[in-house]
Amino acid sequence: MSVPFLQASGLSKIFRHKTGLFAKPTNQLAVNAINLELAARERIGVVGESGSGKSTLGRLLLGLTEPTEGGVWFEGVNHKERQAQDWTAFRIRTALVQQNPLSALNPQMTIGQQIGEGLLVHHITGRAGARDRVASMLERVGLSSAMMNRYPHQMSGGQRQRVVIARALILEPKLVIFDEAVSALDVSVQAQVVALLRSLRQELELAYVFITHDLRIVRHLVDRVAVMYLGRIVETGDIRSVYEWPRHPYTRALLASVPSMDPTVRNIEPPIKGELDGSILSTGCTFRTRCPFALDRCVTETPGLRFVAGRQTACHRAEEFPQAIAKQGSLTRKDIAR
Amino acid sequence: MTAFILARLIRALAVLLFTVTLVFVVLRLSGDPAQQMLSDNAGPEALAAFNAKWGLDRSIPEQYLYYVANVLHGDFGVSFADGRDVFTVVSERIPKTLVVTISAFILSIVIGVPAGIIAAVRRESALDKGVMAAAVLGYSVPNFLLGLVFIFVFAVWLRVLPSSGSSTWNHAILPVATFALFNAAAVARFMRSTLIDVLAQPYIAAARADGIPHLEIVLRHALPNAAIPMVTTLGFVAGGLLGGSALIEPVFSWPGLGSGFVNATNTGDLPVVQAMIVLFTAFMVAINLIVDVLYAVLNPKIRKH
Repeated sequence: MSVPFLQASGLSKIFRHKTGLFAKPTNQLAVNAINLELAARERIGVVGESGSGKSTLGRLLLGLTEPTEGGVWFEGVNHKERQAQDWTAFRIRTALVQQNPLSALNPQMTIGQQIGEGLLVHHITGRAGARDRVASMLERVGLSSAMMNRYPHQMSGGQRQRVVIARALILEPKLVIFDEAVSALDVSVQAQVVALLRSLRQELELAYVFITHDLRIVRHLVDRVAVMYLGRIVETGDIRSVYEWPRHPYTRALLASVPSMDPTVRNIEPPIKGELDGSILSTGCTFRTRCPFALDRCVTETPGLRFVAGRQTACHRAEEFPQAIAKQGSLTRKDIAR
Repeated sequence: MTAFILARLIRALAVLLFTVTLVFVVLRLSGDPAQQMLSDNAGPEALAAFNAKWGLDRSIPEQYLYYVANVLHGDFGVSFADGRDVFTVVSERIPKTLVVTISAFILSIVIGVPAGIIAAVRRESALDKGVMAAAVLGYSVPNFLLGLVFIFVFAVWLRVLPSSGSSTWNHAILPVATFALFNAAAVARFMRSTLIDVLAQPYIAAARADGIPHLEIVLRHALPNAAIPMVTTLGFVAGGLLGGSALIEPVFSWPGLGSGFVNATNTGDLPVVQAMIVLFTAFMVAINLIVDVLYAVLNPKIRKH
């Protein structure tokens, strides 16, 4: 059996919050027993609301945060077993692209210095070589190589995000975590950066995890999708099958919340109520407090991920959902079996 | 950048002129100097003679113009107390104060900055907690009280250092130590919180994800960014040292500007007080100017425009 490229097993992260000197610390289960496997050159989207734990998952995969339980294996090596030099080798083979491109860039360094830093620190090239590589990388992400001497504050948001992408790709990584990589950008700039990522995907043989709350964007960028709710994956599978016939009420609600371009199309999915409730439920489905379809069974029995129609979903009622989440013309909630 | 510095320079001069004016107005309002200087039973002739001698019998605008013109020449008049030239009286105290404040300033940076960096980098460790406990202690004890404690311990009890005066270098140790400890505590606390802020920035996470070694991250990414707010704080510290000299110097009978200012205020020596206030303001303005220039040098957002 071959070694998986990236594997997370039983991965959990609990953050302890101390509100005051004598206050009892509260535990927040950011990532809860996640299993994930990624093949080389595979692209997966991780989708969820803010607070669903998707960014923490990204940081865990890169070993920037230590898991409370479980582990992450990259090319068969557990993060916990890495020595200092293994970490350096791992960091060269992986990269992180973060949300806000202004704060993701050091305001005191020129963008050329920042993009080229990895090359110099890891002794991959000399100064002149780094300059050439940075120049060609800048052009590859659609910027002029003359921008090398600029500081981040002298660029626009879209340009900065291209710089962040250039910095991530300069070491030719095999795995990139895009953490809300385009969320902070204007829609028109977003489209440009997504187009850039799609073209880079063709050229570079890399696997990536694309973390986002925006379901529209991820559709064009990934092969597989994992929907996260309160630290758990509630549905995961091939992007097409999940989007065409979502089998988890949370996925359905997320997809239904994406506005349709057709004004006659009505959303028939009952809306989910309230906000993300981080209090830890000992048993039952974590989504039940907001789920319009919750039964008594959802309180007593925790649904695990199981195979339903070619994907994995964690809902007791997965088989009952109709394909459509929206229909032409006016429909009422009665269309859905309660 | 030249325009930036020029603008700051003009602003500094405006502040100085404003202070000179304010000092003039406030001190004229604070009572009749003739009555303060002469005894209560001085006759009207004596008062008139005093006023004529010091030019206090002229109209207020005249006195103001006369005063500003003199200040520009470095002429602050003559001390009411001993008739000596104010410029001489004040300027012989300047080096005394500078010796203490500059040594204390350097010492508080040398102690405070590394302590703050270590505490921030080793956050939540025993070392961090120890440094911060010491800093809170140093910061919460008023510095004149700390001075009295030092006098008691080192001069009265151990008898290793002199308690007052300025005749030898040994005399400077206690005032400098008092000042430096208090300010090192402030510097360490601020250095720590600034660096912790910077280390939490996404570009630090990005550098970590790129495999940049920890030391390199601290030295190349974090510290240059922490330096900008630090310079502002160090400006405040320097200003606080000068202002604090009025508190510390009397404790050690250190004959600097601080104790001179306290004496002159107590005896109502108007010309000396005026000169001192203008001088303190000039120091503060100079410190601010240095901070502004350093800020521009350190911050590419200003440097590049």
